[in-house]
Amino acid sequence: PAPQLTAYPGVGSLTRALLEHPPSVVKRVIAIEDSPGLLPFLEPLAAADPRLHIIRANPFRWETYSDLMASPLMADVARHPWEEVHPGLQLMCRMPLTIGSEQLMSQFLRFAPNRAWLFQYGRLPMGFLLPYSLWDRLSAKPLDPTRCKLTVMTEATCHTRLSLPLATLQPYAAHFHPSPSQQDLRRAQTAVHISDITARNKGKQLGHPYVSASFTPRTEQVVRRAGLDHWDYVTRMMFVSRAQPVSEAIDRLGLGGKSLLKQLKFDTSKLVKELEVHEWTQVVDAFVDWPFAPSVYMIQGMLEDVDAVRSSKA
Amino acid sequence: MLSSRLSAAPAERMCRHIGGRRYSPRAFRGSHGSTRGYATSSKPANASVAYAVQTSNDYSAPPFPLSSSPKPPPSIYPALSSSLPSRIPLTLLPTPLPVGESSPLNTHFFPDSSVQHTFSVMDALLRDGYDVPRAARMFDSLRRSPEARSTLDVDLYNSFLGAYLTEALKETTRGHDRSAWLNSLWQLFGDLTSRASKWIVRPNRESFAIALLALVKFSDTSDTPVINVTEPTKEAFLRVLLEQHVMLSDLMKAPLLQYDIEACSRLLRVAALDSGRADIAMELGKAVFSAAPDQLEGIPEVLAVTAPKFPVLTRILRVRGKRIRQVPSPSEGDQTPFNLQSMRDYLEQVRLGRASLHDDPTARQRLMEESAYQVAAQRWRHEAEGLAKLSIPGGSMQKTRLKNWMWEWYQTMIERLDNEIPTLEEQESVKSSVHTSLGTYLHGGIAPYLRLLATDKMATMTITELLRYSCGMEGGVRTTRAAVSLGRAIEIEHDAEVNMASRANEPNAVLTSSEGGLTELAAIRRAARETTDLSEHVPEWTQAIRARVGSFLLDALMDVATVSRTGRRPSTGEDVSEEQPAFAHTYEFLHGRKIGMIKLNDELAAQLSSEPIRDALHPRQLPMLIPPRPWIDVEKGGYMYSKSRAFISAAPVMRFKDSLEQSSFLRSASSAGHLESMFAALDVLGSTPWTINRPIFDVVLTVWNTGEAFPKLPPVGLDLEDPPKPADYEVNPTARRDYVRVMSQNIQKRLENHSIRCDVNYKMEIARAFLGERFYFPHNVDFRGRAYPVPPNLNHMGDDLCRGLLTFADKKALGERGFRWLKIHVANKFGYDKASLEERVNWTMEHLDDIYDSATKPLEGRRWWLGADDPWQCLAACIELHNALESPNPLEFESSLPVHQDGTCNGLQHYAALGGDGQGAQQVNLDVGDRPADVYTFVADMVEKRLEEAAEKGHPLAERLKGRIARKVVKQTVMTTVYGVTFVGARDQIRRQLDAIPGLTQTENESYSLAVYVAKITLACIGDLFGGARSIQGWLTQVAGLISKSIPPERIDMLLNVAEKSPGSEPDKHEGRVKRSMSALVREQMTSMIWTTPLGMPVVQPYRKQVKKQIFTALQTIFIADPNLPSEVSPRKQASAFPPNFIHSLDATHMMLTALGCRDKQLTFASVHDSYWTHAASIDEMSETIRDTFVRLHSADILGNLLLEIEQRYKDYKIPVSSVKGQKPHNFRRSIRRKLGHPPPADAEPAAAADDTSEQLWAAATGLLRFTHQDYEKLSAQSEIAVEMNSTPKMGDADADEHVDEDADARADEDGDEKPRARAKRLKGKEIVMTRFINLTEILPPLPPKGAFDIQKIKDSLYFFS
Repeated sequence: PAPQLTAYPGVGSLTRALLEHPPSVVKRVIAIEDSPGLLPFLEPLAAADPRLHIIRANPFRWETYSDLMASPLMADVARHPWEEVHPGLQLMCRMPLTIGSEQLMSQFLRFAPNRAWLFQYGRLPMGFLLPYSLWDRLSAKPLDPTRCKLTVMTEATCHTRLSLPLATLQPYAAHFHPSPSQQDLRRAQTAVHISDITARNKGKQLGHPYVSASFTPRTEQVVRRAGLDHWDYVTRMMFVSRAQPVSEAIDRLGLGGKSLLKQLKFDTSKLVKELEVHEWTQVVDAFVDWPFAPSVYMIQGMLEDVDAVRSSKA
Repeated sequence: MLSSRLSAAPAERMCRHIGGRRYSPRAFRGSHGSTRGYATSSKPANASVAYAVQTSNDYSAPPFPLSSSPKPPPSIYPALSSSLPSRIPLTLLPTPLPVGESSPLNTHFFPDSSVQHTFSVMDALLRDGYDVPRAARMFDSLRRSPEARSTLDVDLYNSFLGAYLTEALKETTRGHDRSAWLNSLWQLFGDLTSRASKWIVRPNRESFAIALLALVKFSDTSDTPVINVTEPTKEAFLRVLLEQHVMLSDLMKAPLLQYDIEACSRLLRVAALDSGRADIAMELGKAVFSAAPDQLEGIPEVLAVTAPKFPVLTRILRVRGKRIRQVPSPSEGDQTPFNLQSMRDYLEQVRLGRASLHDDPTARQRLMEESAYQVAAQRWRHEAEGLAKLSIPGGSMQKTRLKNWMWEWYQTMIERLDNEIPTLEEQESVKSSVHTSLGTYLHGGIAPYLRLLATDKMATMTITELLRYSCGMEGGVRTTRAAVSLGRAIEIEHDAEVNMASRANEPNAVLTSSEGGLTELAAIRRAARETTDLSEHVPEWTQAIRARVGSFLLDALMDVATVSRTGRRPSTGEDVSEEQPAFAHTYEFLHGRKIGMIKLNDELAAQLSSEPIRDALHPRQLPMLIPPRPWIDVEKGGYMYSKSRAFISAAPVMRFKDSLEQSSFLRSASSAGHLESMFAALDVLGSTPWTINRPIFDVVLTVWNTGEAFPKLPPVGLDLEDPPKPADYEVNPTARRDYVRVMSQNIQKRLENHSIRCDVNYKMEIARAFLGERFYFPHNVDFRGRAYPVPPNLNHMGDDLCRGLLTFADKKALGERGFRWLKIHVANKFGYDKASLEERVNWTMEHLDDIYDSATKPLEGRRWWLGADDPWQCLAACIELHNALESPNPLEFESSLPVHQDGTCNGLQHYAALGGDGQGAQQVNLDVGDRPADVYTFVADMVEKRLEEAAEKGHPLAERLKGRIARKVVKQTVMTTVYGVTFVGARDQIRRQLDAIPGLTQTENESYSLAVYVAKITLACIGDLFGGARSIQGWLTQVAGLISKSIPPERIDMLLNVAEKSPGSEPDKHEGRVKRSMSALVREQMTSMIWTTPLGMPVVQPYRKQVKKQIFTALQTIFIADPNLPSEVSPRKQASAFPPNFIHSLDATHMMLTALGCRDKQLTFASVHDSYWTHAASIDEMSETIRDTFVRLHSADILGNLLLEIEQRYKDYKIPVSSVKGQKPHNFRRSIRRKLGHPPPADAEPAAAADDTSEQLWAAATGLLRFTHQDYEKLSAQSEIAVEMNSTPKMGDADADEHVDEDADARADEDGDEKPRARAKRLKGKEIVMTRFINLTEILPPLPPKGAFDIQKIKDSLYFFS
C-alpha cells in the first residue's frame, strides 16, 4: 500500500480514480492544491473518503514540499536504496498550461542527481499529464528541432515514456478541465496520433493535446553532485548555437573556448543539437577542468533560471 | 549634409513673417510679393524649375567687377538685441512624401539614403584621385536624372573640375590622356557657365579659379600646351568672368591660385589688354600686389608633424598613394617636437602645448584637435618599449600590460589592414554596380571609404573606440552600436582631416570673445561671416556605410587581438598558459531577441578596470582653450575643426535626433538669417571663460586618492561582502535563488561602481589637465532650442561635483550687494532656500562657525558641508565666503564664484504666464510676495484639506492618509505636470512616496489603492490651481493631434486623382469623397508638428515610426533605422510631446534672451536651463534682465501667434473625416457628460484618458474641440460616406516601444525583426473606406481664455528667480 501524491489535482478526476482503488493498494492520497476555484471540487471528496488529504499550498513553491515532508502525513514513508524503484510513494501531476510548467519540470528533474526533494525517499516513479508541446521538448531526439537544454537534462536524469497512447486522451475537451471555449476549439485541432499534431496545434492553446508520460530517475546519474551549475551553463550557452558544429559553438563557453576541443573524444564536427548525453558529459568535464572557465557570466546566466522560481512573497 | 548643397535662397523665399496682432493676410505673402513657394504647386516638376531660378550664389552682386569697395548686399541678419523680433520669421518647407514616393522637391529637402550614398561614394572616389573615371560616370548619370539633378550643387561640380585638372596635371604616362581630362573639364565648365544652361547650378569663385589654373597650365601659351583640347580663348574666358560678375580681385585671392598667382594675373591682364580693357588690367596689377601674406606662418612647424602636410591645392594636387604614417618609426622619432619619453598620458597635450606654444592658445587648441589619435599610438609604443627594457616581472609589468597588448594589436592590425584592403578592393571591383531608383549607380563596396584614412590611424581608432565603448559595460558591447559608432568616428576623422588640410593656410579663425557688449559681438559675427571659409564640403555617409566600415575594422581587430592568460588547471594543479582572443563576437538572447555582442576577454576586462584608458577622451569633446568660433551656420562654429554634421556625434549647432526634416528646416532658417539671435546667444554662452576651482580640486583629489566614498565620488572598492554559498545550495531551490540573486546584484553593483568611477576619473583627468587654464565650453542646442555645453564629461551642467570643480575665470569685486548674494548663495546651496532672502542671509551668518570649519578643514574638520543638498558647491561657496570675510575688505574681495538664480518650477511659471492664472502665478512666484511661495507645499496643503473633508464624511482611505501628505509626496507630480505626466505616471510617483512612509501601507493592494486615491486628488488640485495651464496643455495636445493626422493639399489632389480613375465615384474637387484603404490614408500621415520659437528657430518634432533596414556587415547582419527615410508620424507621440516641447522652446527662448541681455550689460553669464549664473556682484543686474526678458517674452501673444502660424503653415491641409472619428468616443462622452453636468474627459494621453479617474482633472478643458459630436454625426450621416469604424489602425500601439532618446547613438537600434503584431495590423487596415476630408484649420479648437494676471508684476517679484 502506497501513499499517492497528486500535485495540481484540479477538479479531482485523477484523485477520484486513485481513490477507486482499495486501501490495500492506495493507502493515502495527498492532494496539493490552493486554487480557491478548485477546492470546492476536492473538499466533498475528502469528506467522503478519509484517505484523501488536501494540502492547501501551491505546488510551484518549494516550501510546500519541505513542509509536506516534515508533516506526519509522510512520516510512514520509508527511504529505499537508490538501486530500486521506490515501491510505495508515487507522484502524479497534471502540469498546467503555463510557461511555469517547464520551469517546474526542470526543477523536479534537477533534484535527481542530488537525491534531494522527494528523491530523498529513493527513486520515486512519477506520472505526468503534460501539454504535448512540453513533452515534445522533454523527449526530443538528437537533431530534432525541439531538442534543447531541457531535453539533455531530462535524458541525463530520467527514463521517460508515454504511458498511454495519444488517442486515449483525445479530444481534449472530453477529458480535461478547464473546458476550452468555442474559439479555443476552433483553433485547436483534435490530434489522435502523433502525426496529427501540426505546428498549429502544438502551441499553448487550451484544447491542444495533453499526453500522459511516466518518468523514472536513472540509477546511474551522470550529473555529479555540485555539477548542476556547470551543466546548466554549458548546455545553455552551446544551445544558443544549436545548429553549429561543436568545434565552433564551443567558443560560446568563453573566450578561447576552442582550447577545450582537444579534451573531447568525439567527432566535434557534430552539431550541438546532435549531441547525446555521454558527449555532453565530456564537454562539461572539459569545461570544469578549464583554468579559464568564466565565473561571472555563470552567475549572471543563472539568474534567469532562478528568477523563474516563484518567490515565496508573491 | 546634402540639403545644404542647394543654396538657401528659396528658403528665404519660403520664410514669411508674422507678428502679433498686426497680422493681415498680405503680410504672409512676404516682402518679395512672390507667389507661394512650393505649397501651392500641385505639379512638383514646375517647382524644381522655379526653385532653380531662385538659387543664387556668391557672385550675383555688383555689376562692375573691380569696384574696390563693393557695396555690401543688404544684410539678411537682424541686428542683435535682447528684444524679440517684432515679427517671427517662419520657415516653411514641404512635408516629406510617404515612403516610396518621390519628387525633385522632396529629394532636394529630404534626400534618401541612396542619394546620400552616391554622394559619399563619389567623394571617396575623388579623394586623392582614387578612381576619377568611376566617379565621373556616377556624376554624369546623376546629371541626366531629372530628380537627382536637384540635389547637385556647385561644390560637387567644383570637385569634378578639380579632379579633372588634377588628373591632367599628373605626370604623363602611357595610356594617360591629358587632353581627354582637359576636354572633360572644359565641357563641364561650359555647362556650368552657359547662360542658357539647363543646369540648375551656377559657378562660384572656386570654379573659375580651377578653370583659370587650367588655362595657365595648359593653354597654347603655357609652358606645357596640350593639343586637341577645346578650351576657351583667354578673351572668351575673361568675357565669361565679366558676364558672371566675378570680382577679379576676389578671384585672385582664391587659395588654389596662390602658387601661380603671377601667371594667373598675367594671363588675365593680357586678355584684358587684348579686349581693350586697360582699366581691368590695371586693377588686377594692384590686386596681386595687395594679396596679403599668410597670417598663420608662425605655426607650421607644429602642424607639419602632427598632421600630414598637404600641398596648398589640397584635394586637387594630392596624389594617389599611401598616406603618410603618422606614428614615426623610432629613427624618425626625433622629428617630433614632443618629448616622447616624458609623455605620460593623452591629456599631456594640454601641458605639452603649454610648453612649446606657451602664449598661443589658438595654436594649442589646433594642436589638441589635430593630434587626437596619433598620440595614443605613440604612447603605446613608448610604454611597450619601456616594458621591454624593464622586463622585470611583477607589479610594474602588470601595469603596462594593457599598453603592451594595445601596441601589439596596433602593429598586427596595420599589417592586416594593409593586406586586406587591397583584397577587398579586388573583390568589390568584380561585383557589378547596382541601379537605384534614381538611375544612378550605387556601388556596394566600402573599399573607397577604407582608403580615406591611413591604416595606422584606423587601427588606433578601432582599438581606442572599442575599448571606450566597453568601459563600464558589462563585459561587452552591442555589435550594432560599436560598428555604427566606429564608422561614424572614422567619418568624423576623415572630415576633420580634410578640413585641417584645406585650412592649413587659412588665417586665424575669428573667435568669439568674452569682451564687449552686443555691438561688439555683432561685429565679431560679421567678421566671422566675411572670413574666407576654406572648409571643404564632405558628404555625409549613410548609416549602412558606417555600419559596414565599422564592422570591417572591428572584424580585423578581433581577428588579430589576443591576450595571454595563465591559470591553474583544477584537476592537476599545473599552471597553464593560453593565448586567447581579446574580443569575441557572440549572440545573446535578451527578452527573446537575439542580440549580437562583442565580448571582452575576462583578462582584458580585469586590466581595464584597474587601469582606466585615457585614450578614450577625444579633444573634440574637451573644453576649448580659446573662445569657440562664432556660430554662423548649422555646421560652422564651435571647435576649430568641427565642421561637423547633423547625425554624427561631433558638434553641429543642434543635437538632432533621427530627423532629416529638422535638419532641413534648420539649414533653411539659418541661411535665411532667422537664427542670428540664437547663434549669438550660443556665442555668449560659449564665450564665458571658466577655470578649475583649485581648492575644490585639491579636496576632491585627496578624497579620490584615499578611495573613500564621498558624495558623487564612489569608493575604490565597494564594501560588499559576497554571501557564503549556502550549505543546501544544491537541494534547496529557494536558497540557491537567494544566493544567486545576491551574487548577481553584487556583480551589478560593482560594475556600476566601476562605471561611475570611470566617469569621475575622466572628470578628474580633465580637471587636472586644465588646472590654471582659462577655458570655454562651446554650446549647441537640442531640437527644442535648449542649450547645452558640447564637452560631455566635465561641464557646468554636470552633477554637483562638476559644478563644484568649475568657477568663472574672471573675478569681480563683491561690493555690498554681491557680498549679500554670496551669503544667500551659501544658504541656497546648503538647501536652506525656502526662507526669505533676509532670513537666508541671517542663517548664513549664524552658521559662520560651521562655514569656517568647512572652508579651512574640509576633511579634517566637522564636515558640516557634507550635509548640504549640493555638498561640493556648498563647500566652494563656504571657501569663497571665508576668503571674502578674511580679506582686508570683504566688499573689495574679488570673487569668481558663479552665484545662481533658479526659477521656481520654471515650466509652471511659463504656463502660469501663458494662462494668466492669478493663483498659480502666486504659487510659482510670478506675483509679488513677502516670502518665496512653495508650490509643492501649497499643493500638499490643498490635498490635505480635501482629505480632511473626505475624512469627515467617513471616507476610509482619507482617514488613513490624513496628516501624512508631506511636500515631497506631491513634489514630483507637481514638477512633472508640466511635462504631461499621465495619471498612471503620477500614481506610480505617489506610490513610491507613500510606500516610503513607515507604517502606512501593509500590502500591495493597499498601497495601490491609496496611491490611486492620492494621485486623483493631487491632479485635481493641480488642475484647480493651474486651471489656465491645464486648458492650454489640453489645447496644445489637441492641436498637435489634429496636425499630425493632416495631409498636405497636394497629396489630397493625388488621392482624388486616383479616385477619379475608379469607376462609379464622383470626385468634386476639395471636399470630394475618396475611396482608399485605411492603410493608404495612414501612409499619408507625414505631417509633423512644427512651430517657430519667438527667436525664429523652427522646431520640428521628430516622432515618426522607425523603419529598420537590414544591413549585411563583416560581423553580422544588423538592423538599423535609416534617418533619411521619413516615415509616417506617430500622432500619439506628436500630440503628447507637444506641450512639454513647446514650453521648453519658450524657456530656451527666455534663457537666450537673458544671455543676450546680460551680454549687453557685459555680465558674465552661464545657464543650466532654468538656473542662471553670474558673478555675485552682478546678480542684481542679471535679475533685472531675467524679469525684463520674461515680461517681454510673455507680453507678446504667444499662443495667438502660434495659432496664426499654424493657420499659415498648415493652410489647406486636410484631415480625413474617418480619422477624426478617432476622437469621437471622447467627444461623445464629453457631450453626454456635459449634459449630465460632468466635466469632460481629456484625450491628451490615451493611457490616462482610458482611466476614468483622470477625467476630473480636465475640468478646465471645456469646449476645446470645435469639431463636436454633432458635427461628426452630420458629416457621417450622409449616405455616400461609408466609414468602417473598426478599421482604423491604432497607430499609437505600433509605436509603443518607440524610445525617445537624446543620445544620438541610441539610433542604431538592435537586431530585431518587425513584430508579427504590427504586420497583422497593417493587413487589417486594408479594408476600403470612403471618406471626406475637412480642412484642418476649420476644426482647430479655439484658444482657451486667458486669466487676468498682469505679467508686469513679475518685475517686482523678489522670488521669481532666486
